This record gives sequence, C-alpha cells and structure tokens, in this order.
Amino acid sequence: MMTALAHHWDRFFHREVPPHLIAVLRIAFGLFFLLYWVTQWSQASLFSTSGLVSPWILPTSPLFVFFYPETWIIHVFFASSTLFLLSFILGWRSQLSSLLILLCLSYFHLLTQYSFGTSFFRLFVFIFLVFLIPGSDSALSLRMYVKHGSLWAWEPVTIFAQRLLALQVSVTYFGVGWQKLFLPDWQSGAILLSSYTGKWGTPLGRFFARHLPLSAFDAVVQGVKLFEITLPFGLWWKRGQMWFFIGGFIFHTLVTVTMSIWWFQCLIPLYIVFLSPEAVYDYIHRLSRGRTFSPRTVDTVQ
Amino acid sequence: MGRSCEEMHLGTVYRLFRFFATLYVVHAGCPSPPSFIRKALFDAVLLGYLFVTLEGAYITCTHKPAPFLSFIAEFAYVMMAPYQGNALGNQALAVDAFYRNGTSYRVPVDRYFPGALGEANARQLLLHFTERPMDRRLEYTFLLSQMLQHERVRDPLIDHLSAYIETWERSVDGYETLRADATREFITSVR
Repeated sequence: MMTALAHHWDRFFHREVPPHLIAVLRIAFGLFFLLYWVTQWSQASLFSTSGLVSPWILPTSPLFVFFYPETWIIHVFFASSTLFLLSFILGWRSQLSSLLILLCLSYFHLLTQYSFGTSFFRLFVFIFLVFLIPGSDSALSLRMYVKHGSLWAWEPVTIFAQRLLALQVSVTYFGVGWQKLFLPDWQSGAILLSSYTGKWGTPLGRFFARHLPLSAFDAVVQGVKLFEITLPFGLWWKRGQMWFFIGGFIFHTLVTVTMSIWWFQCLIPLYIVFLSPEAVYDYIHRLSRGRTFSPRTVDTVQ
Repeated sequence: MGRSCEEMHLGTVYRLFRFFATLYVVHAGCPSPPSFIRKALFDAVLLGYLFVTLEGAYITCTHKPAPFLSFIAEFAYVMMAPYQGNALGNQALAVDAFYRNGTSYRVPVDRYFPGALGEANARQLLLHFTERPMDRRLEYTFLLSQMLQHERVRDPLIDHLSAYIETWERSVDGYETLRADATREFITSVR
C-alpha cells in the first residue's frame, strides 16, 4: 500500500509533463502583472520625494537615498523592473527574472510603508516564488528559440510548480469561504451594501445599492459563500470544472465592476493549473498545426 | 488497553518515515541522481509549504497567532483571508492648511497618495497601523511634514497643517452626500 501511495504521490507531484500549461500561465499572469505594474509606474512621483515617503532606515545609512528617493530613481526602478518582467513574459531566463522581480517587489513593499497589507500582493509574491522553479520558459519562449531555433520547441518539465499553484488557489478560496461562514460581518447582505456605498463602490455598485432591496444583497452574500466553499473542489472536478471556471470569471468580474477591486482577476489565468498539462499540450499542438516538437522526444511527437 | 499518547505519536512518525522511505525506494531506480535530489528538494519545499498553509488554516479557524514561524504563517493566512475591515460608516483623512490670519483651506489629499477610490482611502487611513495608534500618529506627523513642504511650494504663506479622521454615515446617494455631518477626530498638527 505504501508503494502504491508513493507512486501516486510521485505521479501527482513529480511526473514530467509538457511545459505548455506553465508557459501559457507565465505569459498570461505576466501580462496581468505588467498591467498592475504600469498602473503603479504611472504614479511614480508619489513614491518619491515629490510625494510622501516613509523611509524605514536612518538618514545616516548609505542606503537612505533608495528609501527616500528622488523621482528619477523611482523611474529607473520601474523601468528596470519592467524589463525583468518583459524578459519573464518572453521566456528569456524566466527563473532569474522571477528572482529579480521578487527583489523589486520587496523594495516596492518597503518603499510604500503606508501602503495597505493585502492578500493580492502576497499572492503575487507567492506566484513569482513558484516561478523560481525551473521550466516555465521551456516552451513558447525566447530561450527555446535561441536553443532549438523554433518558438515551438519544448522540453519536458516537472508538474510540481503547477501543483503548488493549484493547491494555493484552492486554499485561498476555501479559507476565504470558510471564514465568511462564521465572521459576524458576513452573516447578512449589509456588508455588500456597505461596500457599494463606501469608497470602494463604483457607479455600477452604487446603482445596485440604490435599486436593490437588502434581501437581494442577503441572497448574493449567501450565494457567494456557497460558491467560494464549493469552488476549490469544483476546480479539481474534471467533468464540471468548466462551469466553475465560468463562475469564477463572473464572480471576479462583478467584484471588479462594482467595487473596483480588480487585482484578484489574477486568479482567473491561474485556473489553467487545474487542467491536464497533456490536454493543454494537445490543444497547442493542434493550434500550431503540428509544429511543436521536443528535441528529447522528436520521434514520438512529430 | 489503549495505546499511550507517546506511542501514537511515535506510530505516526514511523508511518510518515515509512511513506517517504518508500517514496525514495520507488525512485531508487531513477537513472539520474540530480533528478532524485531535485525530487527530494521539492518534497522538502512541499512539506514546508503544507506546514505553513496548515498554520494559516489554524489562524483562519481560531483567529489566534500560529504557534510556529508566525510571520510566515501570517503571510499564508492573509492569502486566504476575506475582507474584514467593514465599517458601516465612511472614514477619510482630512487635512486643513491654515494661514496666520486663521483662514484655511482643505488640502486635496488624493494628490499625495497612490491608487484610486478604496485603495487610496486605505492608504490614507494607514490601516496597517490601526492596532498601533502611537506609531500611526508618528507616521502621520512625518507624512504631514512632507505635505507641508509641498504645499508651501504652492503657497509660502501657509502656517501649519492639521490632520483629522472624518467619519460619516454612508448613503446610497453618493460617497460624499452626508459628509457635511461628519464627526472629526484630531490626529496631529505640523508647523
């Protein structure tokens, strides 16, 4: 029995798979993060001495200039971190790029001492940490182009990174749904109505607040709790997962358009980690009209 | 007769050891040693991740600090935590700039804080200082001194700035609708 269990463990966490799934995620998440990063860059002066800065080190330190920076330093910081991000998206030394982006995120976090601690920022950090695992640039990447002369070339990778991300997405939804079952604020629709009428509310949110009765908000909150509790299981359920993908997309999109909380849309591209890497490979192989090839398995694939 | 607690724990440790020993026996025929080492390393990462995530789940269920590695557990917890800062009223930072003759104007604080709507509001309220009021006041004093320098560039005659937290009822008619009736809590003043 132990041997069977070990085989299952090995197959689930360590088997070698085509890298296309993790490569698609690298590109999709990278583009999403680029959007986030550009919105931050557009406010660069506010992170410098032209805005308000809260240095966390003493003025006598030689590093003080980086934590009480002039605007040009911030622009150099954003420009270089955007280059790392582009390198990550294009698949040129993605592992090293992830590490550099993580360093940039750490600096950015320390720079904005008066920022708010958020789940989404930690999710960003976690995702880039997982991309430190090698393999995300083993398909649809510049690295493959330089190494094998074709963007369609690929090399097998471990499924480990995909599994870690799938576990985290499940845990995130389950933890959020579980707490909402018990937190006093989440026992009625008042929290939603309150959010729509507060500073987070968008014009559409306020429109709902004006025209829907409290009972409708009660029903939505109960529905959201049920959805968030079932989602982590539904995402793994091969036969019905597409409905949960669509449900998740609608849920996050509604949160974005009614409450201007858009960062959790990063979870939508992550749904791909619940698919089979072989199925994603088959799809891309068909899309490329059979041009994908792996030098290690060239006889069997072509 | 039932087994003692120690025996049960030892049994669990033994079963875990046997599982991983079997796992690596399964890999024993693995042709490339680096692959074997890589898997062992990944298993160590995975176990660490699962442990920290369980600690995050412990905080989720009990709302008590995690017993070990609390900083990392807190990180895991926040990745699975819903919005819990619901206030039934609106709150915002208000800063007034005063001249020597007693006249004043309201500083548009939005131009000093990144983000829009709720994000800017959360930053302005220094929410991560909520449980440390003294630090929060010091932080506001520091930020306000920078704001004063910027405002003086626009108008050198400004004497001082005062910061308040304003609280008012929410309304379906708009965010600012009932702000005229806001209550004010003085935070700090910078000259």
